[in-house]
Amino acid sequence: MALLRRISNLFRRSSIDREIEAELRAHLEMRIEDNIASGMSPDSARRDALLRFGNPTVTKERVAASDAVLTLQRIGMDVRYALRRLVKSPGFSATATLTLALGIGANTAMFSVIRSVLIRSWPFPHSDRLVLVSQRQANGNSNLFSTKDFLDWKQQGGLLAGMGAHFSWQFNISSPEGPPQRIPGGVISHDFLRVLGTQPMLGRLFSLSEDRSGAGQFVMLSYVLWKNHFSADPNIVGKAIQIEGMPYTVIGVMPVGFNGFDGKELLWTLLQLRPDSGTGSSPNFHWLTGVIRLPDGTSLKQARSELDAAAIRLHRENPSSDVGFGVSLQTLNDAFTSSVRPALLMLMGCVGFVLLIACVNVANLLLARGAARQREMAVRTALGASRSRIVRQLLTESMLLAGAGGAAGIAVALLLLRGMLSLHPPQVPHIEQTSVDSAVLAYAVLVSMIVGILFGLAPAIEASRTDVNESLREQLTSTPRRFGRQHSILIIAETALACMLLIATGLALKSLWSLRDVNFGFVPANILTFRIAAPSQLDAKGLPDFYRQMVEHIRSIPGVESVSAARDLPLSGIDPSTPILTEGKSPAPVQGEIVTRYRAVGDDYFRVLQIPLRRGRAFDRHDTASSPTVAIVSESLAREYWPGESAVGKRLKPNIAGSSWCVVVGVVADVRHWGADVVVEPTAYYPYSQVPESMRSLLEANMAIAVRSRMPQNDLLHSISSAVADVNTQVPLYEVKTMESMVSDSDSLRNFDLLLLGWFSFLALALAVVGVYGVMAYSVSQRTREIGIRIALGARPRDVLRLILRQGARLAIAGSVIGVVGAFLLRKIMASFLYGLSANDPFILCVVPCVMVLVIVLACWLPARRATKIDPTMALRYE
Amino acid sequence: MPRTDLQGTLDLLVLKTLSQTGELHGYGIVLHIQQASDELLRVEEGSLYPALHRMEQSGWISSEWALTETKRKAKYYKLTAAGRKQLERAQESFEQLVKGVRAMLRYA
Repeated sequence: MALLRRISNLFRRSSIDREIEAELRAHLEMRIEDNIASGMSPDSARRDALLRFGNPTVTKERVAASDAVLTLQRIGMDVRYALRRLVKSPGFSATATLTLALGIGANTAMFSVIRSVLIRSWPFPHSDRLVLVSQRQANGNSNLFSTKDFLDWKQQGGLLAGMGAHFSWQFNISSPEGPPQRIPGGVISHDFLRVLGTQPMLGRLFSLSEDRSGAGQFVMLSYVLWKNHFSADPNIVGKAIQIEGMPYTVIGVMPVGFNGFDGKELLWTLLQLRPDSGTGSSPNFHWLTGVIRLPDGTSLKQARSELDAAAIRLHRENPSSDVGFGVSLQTLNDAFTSSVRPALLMLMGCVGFVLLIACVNVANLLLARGAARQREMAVRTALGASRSRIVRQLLTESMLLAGAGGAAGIAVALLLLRGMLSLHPPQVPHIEQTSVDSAVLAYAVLVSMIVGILFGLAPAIEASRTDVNESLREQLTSTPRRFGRQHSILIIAETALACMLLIATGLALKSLWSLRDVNFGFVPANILTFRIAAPSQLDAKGLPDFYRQMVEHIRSIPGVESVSAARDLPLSGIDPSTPILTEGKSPAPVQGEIVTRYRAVGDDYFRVLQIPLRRGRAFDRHDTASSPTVAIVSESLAREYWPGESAVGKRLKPNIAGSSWCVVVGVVADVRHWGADVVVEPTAYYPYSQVPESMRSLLEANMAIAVRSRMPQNDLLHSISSAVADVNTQVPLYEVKTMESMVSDSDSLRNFDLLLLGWFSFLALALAVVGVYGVMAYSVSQRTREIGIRIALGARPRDVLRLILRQGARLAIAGSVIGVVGAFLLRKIMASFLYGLSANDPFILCVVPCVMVLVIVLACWLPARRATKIDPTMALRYE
Repeated sequence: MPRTDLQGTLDLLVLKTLSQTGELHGYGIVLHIQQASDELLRVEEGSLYPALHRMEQSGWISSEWALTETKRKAKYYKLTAAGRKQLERAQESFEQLVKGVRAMLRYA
């Protein structure tokens, strides 16, 4: 009932007010009457009554405050009052709002990116329980599963019993009209979808009996493919569709939004693994991603120890196999975001700094305003306002400012996001799904509130500390207030924050600059690349012929300088690796064994990419399936296995079933296959025509082709597609890219980070400069009289200038020193973000603070100039 | 643990006054407390009203406007059933407090 009463009070506000007033008045009057009755004069009777009662206005407020709803209305009044005050000083309000909007906007934008990239939920139920499993080898590398290992591991039972396997693949789907299409999808074990936990929209999941070789061909469709390609046929389950020219029975259709881990897969077929034969059955061919679902109550740590035990058991049973020595487990989120997480968190930290600087600026403005409003506060205190009352009033003002800043900040965030998404780097997963949703808005509101309290509290407390007597006695502008300690602290703080950000940016810029000089090992200019898929009817023998024919047709195009097929081109592909055996080296796997990249390439590969040949010869057309097997090794491999001697003429053998000893015929320069900031790995190249037959269908089903030509891209592409059609009209040509765009894509993530970091640092610097300028200008205006006297007493403009600048410089130097120390303390975090560069760069650590001090002193220049222009006669009459 | 704050004591005094006198206005409560305590307790008059309103919000007392003997309009408060229960509780906890303080003073 009490609640009802309180709510009904809301509508009787004025009557309640009147009632309280009447009650208190009645009390006073009764006391006065009694006093008169006991013989006092009317005047002293009234005086005594008031003394006994205390301040009636304050009492009334306190009575009203005992009602929660009335308190709310008081807040409403505070808000109205604060609004009036803010509207009266539009310059101040606009500056504060804009400053906060920049800070809050940058934060909100960054938060929404982080939310969609790092803490986004996957379209699978309880996705936090999904764990990717791979083998951890003796040398610490983790490795995908080979067919044999996967089957062996699954037999260990426990958590492994339900392990699903996945391999990305591209499928040719023929349609009645038009050329065949290339559809990304996955080849999976029957329980993979069950592990993910998503039920199909139509039909059912795969069953165990379908996942056996010889059981037939089955396919699961995605919603998108079902809708676009099969016109959402509701009776599709059970029908056969044509994939790679073969009939596959549709088992089911997955619901909207389910597109595998990468969000791009459109259909799934079964692996139908066999340990003895079939695709990828070689025990050294690691190609399957394992995924398990942790049961409730099992931690990642428990799972790891259980699986480690299984790995050791397996190794004991079969020590000769390269079964891993342990497991490496990664949650789904970690696996897909670990590469971008440090950079995104670092950027989040940066915008946090920017927001802090914005807060400091607004706090500075409020402090300056507070000083000017001292008298108002004194009058309020004298009239009975308590300290908490004044703090509340001022906090209301700062919350209003924060609210306005937050609202404008959301607009800033939308703009920033649009900019960020327009240059979004392809390597950041799911960044395209970033949007401002309710969670992001809630974040913006929360940040605004925290910020409002953060920058409002200190000035509010400072203002409420007013000494009534002092302030009321003072003439409005008579005493030049000392340059407040708070101002100094705030200036130092923002200089320090900005300095730290600039140091971070400087270090990042420098590390990027050093990467500019990194030699990729090939020349990306004038190369067009694409992939073609061999027709599925081709057997292992036919594959090399198919590609040789393709390459010859393309080579005959006028204007084409050179052309080559390859399993993987730099910056793309699956880039398989395998241990190699070399003559004179023990064949047993040893601790820390070097795993080498296995690259199947065509004759002219090194010519097209212009990879320098250091020794020996390149492949030529005499290296065929029937000629002696050969290999070319990279310099780093030659150095590793045959230090101090020539590798040419030595023999090596990749540890893949069916491969034979290959004679090393040449040594080529190292290539940075995965980009400038990735370490060079020892690499061996083999002619694709000499790849063991058992591996061919897997390695050569869709090879890349690189064409070096100075022709305009469109003309070239046109000639190429007609050349391809000459050989076979049924093969799709896809992933057309220039080598240069692949290189710039590989840098794009780093450039994206750096661009944002640069912008945020610039923002921080600009805010700091504006803040310092504002404070110094205010300080000069407060010291007008003092400076006037100095000038009257003979100070020259130069002296005045020096006076002001020295003050600014002292604070700037203090701030920069703290900034350098702070940056030094945070160097661990920064080092994780820097590409192979130490955070202890003395050059940056010296230059940045110097620049900082210079900029801050420049910001003081204008106010200082104004101080020199002070007319002493005017200044002394200033009161 | 009994409530030991002064606000609780003021509540107790007000409730007790109303239970003894039936209906009374704020000024009367001040006078009654003063007289009944042989002038030992003096309520700060202003602070009485926030307490009265709070207790009314809690449903311990109810109020209505009526005329005093001198024909002046004043707000009269009286105890409700909930207020009576609250008085018992408050009395008990106050006695506990006094006992506790006494014991402390004796042995300290």
